[in-house]
Amino acid sequence: MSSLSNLLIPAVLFFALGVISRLIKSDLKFPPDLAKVLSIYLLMAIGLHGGYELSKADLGTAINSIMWALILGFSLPIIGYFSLVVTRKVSPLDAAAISAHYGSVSAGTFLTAIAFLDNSGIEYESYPLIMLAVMESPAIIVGLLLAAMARKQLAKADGKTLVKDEDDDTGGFKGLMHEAFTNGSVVVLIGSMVIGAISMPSGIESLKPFIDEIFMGVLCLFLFEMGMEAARRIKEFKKVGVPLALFGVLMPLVGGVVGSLVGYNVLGFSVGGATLVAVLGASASYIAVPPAMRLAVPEANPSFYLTLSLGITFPFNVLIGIPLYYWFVQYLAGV
Amino acid sequence: MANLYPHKLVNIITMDILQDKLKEMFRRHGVSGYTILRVSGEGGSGESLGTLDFEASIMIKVILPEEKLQRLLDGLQRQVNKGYHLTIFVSDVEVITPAKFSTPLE
Repeated sequence: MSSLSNLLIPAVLFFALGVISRLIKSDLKFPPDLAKVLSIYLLMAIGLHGGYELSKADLGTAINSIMWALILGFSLPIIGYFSLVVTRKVSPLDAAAISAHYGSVSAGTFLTAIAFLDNSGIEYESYPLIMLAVMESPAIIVGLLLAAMARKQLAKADGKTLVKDEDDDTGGFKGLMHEAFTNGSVVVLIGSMVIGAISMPSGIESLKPFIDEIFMGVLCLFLFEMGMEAARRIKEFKKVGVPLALFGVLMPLVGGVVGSLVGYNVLGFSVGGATLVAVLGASASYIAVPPAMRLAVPEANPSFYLTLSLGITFPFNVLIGIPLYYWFVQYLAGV
Repeated sequence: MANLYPHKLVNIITMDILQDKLKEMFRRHGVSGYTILRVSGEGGSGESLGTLDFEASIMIKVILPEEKLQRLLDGLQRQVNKGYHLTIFVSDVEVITPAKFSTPLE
């Protein structure tokens, strides 16, 4: 069974071990900044690798992929926002903050999908990697716009006017834009891709042990820790409630279907490549977006968006989503 | 024998991501300096273990003469009103080098 083979990938098993170690209340603890170090490494390695591949790729398809990444990044949060607002389970500001997470992407989920494809010997294009880099930011912008809209509506309903804050030193919208595009993971990923693309092939060859050979091991370590983080969030499931938790499963399915169609039918990728686009559509950010929303939408409840993206959607995608999207793309391809 | 001069110590416990915003505010309010510690704990906004970057909590300590206190507190109050989680408390302290606390940051 193909779904079982996804579960038997070491990286995914380590994710499960992380979850279990929290559930049995093990005293296992990783050093404080480890996850950060590991994620910088992972983005660097995947960026170098992808940049090198892309230097040999077709420019037209690359531009097309970027355009569709932008379309996905801008439209998915809007779909999420309106489906949340319709249910009336959360305030419009919470809805804006939550949906921004679903338009952005999770590099951890993307890398797990790569491990899944590698393990099953499925080929994939390197274009989805540019899409990963592009999709980090647009959703943050949409989230901010939706929040501004919601705030205006709420103020109107209360009969209050919004007061301009003299202490607004983040530079308002401009400052947040700057943060969205200079976000650490975007800089590491795009920078490494450029280095990979312009370096001499012999230079990249000498980095092979760093980029290729230890990559899956580091991914195991990273997912091990993320499993522990996810399990910590599952405890807050009660606060979130069933309807909202359901959103954490349904929204990735919607994003996964949209991503599959874009990847396979619009961009014409192989089954492997389209599966990666589906994962981009399905995944929710838990690194780049939460701090941006905390700063820009302080009214929204962080335990909602963190529990949803990290505690529900991330494990769902890692354990069930990836093989499911792969299966769906295969179905589209008529395999 | 060294003399002691009464001053105020403002303690702020908040999220790491507010750091830049608050530093900027300190400058505008003529604060002479601050100390930032990385902390963890549990409270109204949940448990902060600080494993992930955006969850890290910090404690900021600012010593200042009493006449500058109210303006800074007003600025902090505005941040609280906006919905940011700040735990703020003020205590009396005594310093031996008052000049150090009256020179604003550049």
